[in-house]
Amino acid sequence: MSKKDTIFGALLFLICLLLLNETRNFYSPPDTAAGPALWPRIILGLLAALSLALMYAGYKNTPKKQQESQAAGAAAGSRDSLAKRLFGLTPGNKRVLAAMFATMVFLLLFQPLGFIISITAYFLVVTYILEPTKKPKQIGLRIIQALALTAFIYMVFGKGLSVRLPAGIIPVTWLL
Amino acid sequence: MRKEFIKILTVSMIILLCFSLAGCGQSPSSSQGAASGSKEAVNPGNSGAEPAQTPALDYPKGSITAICPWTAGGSSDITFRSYLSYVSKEIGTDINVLNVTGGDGSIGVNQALGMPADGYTMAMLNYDILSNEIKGITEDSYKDFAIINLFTLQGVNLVVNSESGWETFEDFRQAALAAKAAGKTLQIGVNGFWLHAAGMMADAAGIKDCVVFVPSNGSSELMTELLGKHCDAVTTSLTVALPHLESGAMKILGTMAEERMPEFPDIPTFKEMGYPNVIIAGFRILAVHKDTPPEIVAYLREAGKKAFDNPEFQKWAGDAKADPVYMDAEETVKYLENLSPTVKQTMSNLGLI
Amino acid sequence: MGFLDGLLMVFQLHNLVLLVLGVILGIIVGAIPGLTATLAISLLLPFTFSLEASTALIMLIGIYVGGIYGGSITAILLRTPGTPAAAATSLDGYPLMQKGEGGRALGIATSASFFGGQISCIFLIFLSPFISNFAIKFSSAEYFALAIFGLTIIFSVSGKYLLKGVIAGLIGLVINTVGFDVIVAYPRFTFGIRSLMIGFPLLPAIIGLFALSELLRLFEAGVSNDDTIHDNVGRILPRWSDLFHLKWVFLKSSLIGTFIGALPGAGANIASFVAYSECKRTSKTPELFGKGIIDGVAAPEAANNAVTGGALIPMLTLGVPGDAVTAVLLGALTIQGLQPGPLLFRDNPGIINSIFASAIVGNFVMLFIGLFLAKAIAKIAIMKKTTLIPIIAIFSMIGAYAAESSLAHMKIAVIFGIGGYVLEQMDFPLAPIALSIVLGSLAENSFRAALIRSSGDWRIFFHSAISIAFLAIAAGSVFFALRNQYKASKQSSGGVGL
Repeated sequence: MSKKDTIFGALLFLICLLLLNETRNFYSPPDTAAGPALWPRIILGLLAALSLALMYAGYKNTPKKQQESQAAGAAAGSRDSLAKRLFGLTPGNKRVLAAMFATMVFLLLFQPLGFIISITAYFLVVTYILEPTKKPKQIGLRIIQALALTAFIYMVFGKGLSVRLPAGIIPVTWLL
Repeated sequence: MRKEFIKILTVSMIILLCFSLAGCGQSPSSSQGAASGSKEAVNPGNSGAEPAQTPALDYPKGSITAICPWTAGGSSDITFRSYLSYVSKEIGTDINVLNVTGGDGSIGVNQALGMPADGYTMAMLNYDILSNEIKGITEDSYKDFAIINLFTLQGVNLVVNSESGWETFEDFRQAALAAKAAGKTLQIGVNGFWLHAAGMMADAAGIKDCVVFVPSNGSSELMTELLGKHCDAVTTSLTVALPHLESGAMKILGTMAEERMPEFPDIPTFKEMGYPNVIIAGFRILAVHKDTPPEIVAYLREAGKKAFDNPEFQKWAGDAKADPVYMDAEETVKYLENLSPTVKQTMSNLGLI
Repeated sequence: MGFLDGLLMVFQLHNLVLLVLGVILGIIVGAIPGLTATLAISLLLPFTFSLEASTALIMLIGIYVGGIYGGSITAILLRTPGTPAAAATSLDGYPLMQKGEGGRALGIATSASFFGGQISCIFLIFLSPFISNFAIKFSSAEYFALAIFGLTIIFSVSGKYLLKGVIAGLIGLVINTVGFDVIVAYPRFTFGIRSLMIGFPLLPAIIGLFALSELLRLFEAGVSNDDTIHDNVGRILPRWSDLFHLKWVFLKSSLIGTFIGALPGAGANIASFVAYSECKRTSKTPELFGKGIIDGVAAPEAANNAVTGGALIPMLTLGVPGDAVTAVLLGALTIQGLQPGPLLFRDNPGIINSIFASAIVGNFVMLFIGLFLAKAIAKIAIMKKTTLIPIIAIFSMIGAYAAESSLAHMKIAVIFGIGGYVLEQMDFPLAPIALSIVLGSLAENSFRAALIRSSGDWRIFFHSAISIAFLAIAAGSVFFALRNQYKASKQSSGGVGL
């Protein structure tokens, strides 16, 4: 429990209010005993109450010192702490962010480029994020692995299960 | 490490073998197994049936995708796949079914309309094409499609538990009125569009205030509801109720079809019982985008008719109780035009719009 | 005598080959995240057009048995449940793997699956009419009570952060309401965005929550040279002492699985969580759950495979499928021109007997192949991390995409992966979210159906002994969970240890 929880609780509470407001727009037959809004309202009501509890628990359990220093930090200027946070990323955090970014790009390009290029490229990028290398031998091995994986995916999903994998800019019919 | 590598390789080979064996079964429609794509179009004649070919038409060149807006393995999906396998024989190319579910069928329909109007994407249209448009959930309409043909028309029946003692619909109606007088209601189990059928019936029979429509998670759950006597009646198709009708556990009080069912010639229609407007059925229609070149549409219509008349399809549909009915494009459009205002009226009576 | 005929039928060479093939195919499909037995059977359905009825069913039942089991392999090895039904297995299976006891977990999972499958077959053969009579006593109020009972499992899978676990469960329930409301068929919480109309389907959500979020954690941990996730999976063949120790867990979980399978509204996904929680509740060492205990692997695996026999009960006796897979099997029977239901026993006893026999033989095949193949598949886990992580990521995403060739499903998996990672960083357990996504629509729909039925009278939930019993157990387990929490927090220096 920490200040993070207080912030998350507050955020959750706001989302609950927003969604509760949205339930008023649900279409409901005039004389029904249980319309579409009933269940979401019960759940959101409970969630809103518990998010307040989370805020309280987070506030109460944050050690006093931490509270003060955090408050001081906030007062001293958020720019400083923000910059500190950005540059204070561990290598692990950076890898996670890079992986998330690579995955987003993969989602965007999967359809237009087709599965062959996007899967191969994604494999290479992700292995690079995990273990950067400049050795040509290593890179060559990875390219072979990536192509083998793509072929395997094509056999299992495309051929075996007749899933429509997007061909993109390389028509699959060339391969066969 | 070498040993490990060989083991992994062996497992991969087993996997590939399994999938390629399974893959052979994917498309019984294409006579020569899974080899779709460019090779296939060269010899469309190898399926035995004479392809309905117009010399000038350069179609179909590759495989066709047909969008089913319902989950794989459901009764709509099974019937659609079966019918398409015979259509595919007529046109001599693969038709791959793609299930695009969600939004009460509207997602799949919308996706079909988003594809190029080149005849390589087909779609199945169901009752929801009418109700979704009426509700304003989607702007897509059956008018955005060029209808190939209608291939099944599934009548809706009012089914009760045999132990209820009701012999006719009139018995049921009286029981409903009596229940109301006693301050109670009868419960009719419904699911999906059968709610509309039940509402239409209750409205016409003047028992709207005497019944509640209890939603259920699926047509099969309706059967346990009725067997367990949690509901007084259900509206459903013949398919799910048939085993219980034959075993005598359930009984049909009336059918909302235009004419009596061939399987149960003794069951009266609601029309005969004096409710001429209580006619409703679930339909399945094969269609393509309306901007598809007319010669392709004409070609597909011819193939669709031949596929429907194929005795093998007729036998299958009879065995599976899929209610095969053929309507050509013109008849189908007329049917939908007539049905649409009725659906709207029913939904407004039910408070759904 | 009839059953012997069925056995002879299954042991005909072509039938046996197809059965073995079906089980292998099922295991593989089950093990790949995103591909389920339901999908495999749906896709293979057209193939069965051309087969004889009993042969087709023998193969499909092989896939069913193998498919439910297969999910456990990847759940244990990689914390990537191949099917939603194996999500509960990863709760203890993966910690066991991390302790270097992956082989033991796999062996237990395989034998539990075998045991669960066989127990349910015995029920299927001897007690079908009795169980189906009980199953039709369930209506909306009883289903709601069952769902609530299931949701209280949140209290037992939340670990030390109870408040956060409950919040996570509620978030899951809210996620479930996005999309189309099935009762009035209008969209909810879509804010006019069409792609939200499909809501958040179960399969991509589970893939994201478990598989992709775990991968992000591995990214954070990073790799060193030649780093593998595990050096060793150890011996797979289970020890007699383990099996003896687990005998009651096996039996109880199998009964739970058989019964939940027989209910038309609930399937393997729910059964595995219920069995896990029940096992933890009655265990002498509940504090070891979640940290790697074989009981926590045995319970969900025995239960989810027991669902196979259970779900066949209403299908054969009532013509009503017990879960999603049997719904498709029902379609297969229809394609064959057979009418499932009460008259099948009279008109086609041969079919019934071959179904019985193939379920039993299929379980044996699964046991042997499982113990053999698991060893080979387990080698995957000793691949280099640098190679393995992208492979799982790609398989997970393509698996999410596969069912409907839908990019939207793939996006949902990624969103849940990132969301799950962030929540786990903040000490929110993910199992409650998965559980409430599994149970959410059953809870809501039966809740509303019951109220509509009673014209808004809430007392309907207390009308039958079944629903009262479930609600009472639910209330009891919430009470004990809160009491334990309170005691624990009192001990730890008075802080609010929520």
